[in-house]
Amino acid sequence: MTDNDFPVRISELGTIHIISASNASIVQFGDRAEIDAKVRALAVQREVSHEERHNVYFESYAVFNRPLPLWPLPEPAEQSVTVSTHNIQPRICVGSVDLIAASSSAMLLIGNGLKAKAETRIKHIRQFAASRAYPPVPGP
Amino acid sequence: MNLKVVNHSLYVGSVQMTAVASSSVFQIGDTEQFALYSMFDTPPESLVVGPIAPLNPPEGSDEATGESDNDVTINEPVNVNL
Repeated sequence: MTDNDFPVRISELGTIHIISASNASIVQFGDRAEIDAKVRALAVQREVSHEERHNVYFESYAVFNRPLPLWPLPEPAEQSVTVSTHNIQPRICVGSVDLIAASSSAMLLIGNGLKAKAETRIKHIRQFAASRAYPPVPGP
Repeated sequence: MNLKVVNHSLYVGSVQMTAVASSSVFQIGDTEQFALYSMFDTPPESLVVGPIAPLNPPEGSDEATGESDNDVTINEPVNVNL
């Protein structure tokens, strides 16, 4: 091991240009510990107006209740893999970042992080005024 | 098991991105853990209404083996009853 071993690295960024950061997205300069970002979205496209057809509800759609495929995040004590990191250089240097859009619990982090969890559930709905032609129901 | 990571110099000139979306992360820095989930429920191709341009069979489909010609419905536009 060399003598140069820095405990944390510093991120250096020259310029950043972001046009849009929307829908629970995060742009952060600096370090952070934990983050838990969540978005639920019902994207409805309708032929008639929303005033006429009223609300839609998250409870009606299974995608918002479906359990996450959880991988247990191991605590440091029970980690079976011991990771030792050595930073020879004290900094990460980036000249410029150019981003048009960040959306739906997206994260831009210039700095160090510890734990990050993010969850997005989006249901797209298309509604038309005319009803679908169903096959005729047989009479009694 | 021991994993030894040695971080040497990291210099990046410029990064250009169109979009970071739906639980995605762009990070300049170090991190410990990530758990990113994204669920979508979308109608088939968001339901295209209108004339549909028929597609030609893919290149080299004549020599394709193991695919039956009988029930293939290539070039038939899909009609949506509204």
